[in-house]
Amino acid sequence: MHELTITQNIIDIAVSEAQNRKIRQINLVIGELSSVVEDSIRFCFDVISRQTPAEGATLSVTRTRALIRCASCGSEFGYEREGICPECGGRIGEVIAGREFYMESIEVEDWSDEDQGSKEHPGCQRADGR
Amino acid sequence: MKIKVVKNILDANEQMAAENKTLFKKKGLIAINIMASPGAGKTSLILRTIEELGEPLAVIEGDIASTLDAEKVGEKKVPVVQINTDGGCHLDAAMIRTSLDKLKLDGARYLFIENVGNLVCPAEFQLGESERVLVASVPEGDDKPFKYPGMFATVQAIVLNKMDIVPYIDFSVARFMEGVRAVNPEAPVFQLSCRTKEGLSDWIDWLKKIGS
Repeated sequence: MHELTITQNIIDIAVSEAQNRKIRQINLVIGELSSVVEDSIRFCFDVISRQTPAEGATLSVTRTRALIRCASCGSEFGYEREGICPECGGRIGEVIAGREFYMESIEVEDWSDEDQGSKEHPGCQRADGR
Repeated sequence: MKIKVVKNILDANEQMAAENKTLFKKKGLIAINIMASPGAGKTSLILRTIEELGEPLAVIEGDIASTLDAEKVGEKKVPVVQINTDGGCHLDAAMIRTSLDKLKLDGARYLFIENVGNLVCPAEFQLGESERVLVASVPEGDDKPFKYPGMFATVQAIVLNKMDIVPYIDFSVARFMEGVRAVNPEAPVFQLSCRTKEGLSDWIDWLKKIGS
């Protein structure tokens, strides 16, 4: 339901970091337990990135697994077995990973590419407005 | 050229939540974010808490539409403000900030924030609260912690409501507790009934403890 807002946040962060350079790729990390629907983000991204430096950028998503730490033996394991520790059978645990949702990095066109004028950058917005 | 970013996508909300937290602290308020699926008994719990806690409190009601809940709380003569999210699936920190301006706190010690009924999205959005509380109810089934681990993992306390109807339905408290403990080793679980008031005193005691 809130993927439109989230996608707007993604574009805002990427555009701010890119400092007017055209964005080629945005690398996101989404945890298994974060309630973010990747397909919805992709759909929203295509629509709302239009006429921004992020238009046409590739959205690359790394999914991270949920990780539970057993309170009895300290083993770390995934959530596939309803949180039961595969080492000691312990049933008390703590979520230590899987809720993350962040932008790891972006890939942009180099300043030098633009200065040399050796390539066409149709969506490129120059800092000097030319 | 690659630029390292490492920025939380919900960073803007979290910054606003941090400001809210500072504001609550300045006003001496203990803010409690109450989350649950629709119909679990969030409003009932707030109404019972108003009756039993005996401390000045205020309430922010979050709903997609209507002022029904704010009206119920208003009848108890406590300061209340209704937020309508117009379809939005959760409250966010900015909505709380705006609604605070409309709320006459009158020396309130506790601020109860009733989130939009939803076991998914509210888990992601910090409001600046001191404590996050999940209200589950037995008709929802004992498997809910297994199905919504993201929500159950992030709360400081869990209320298991409608315990008075357990004899009439297939609900295993043990199974429910297994699901909770698989992702949340410490949160207290208060088994109670807002209808009969049974078990309510442990919840009230916990509120008093966090407020002292």
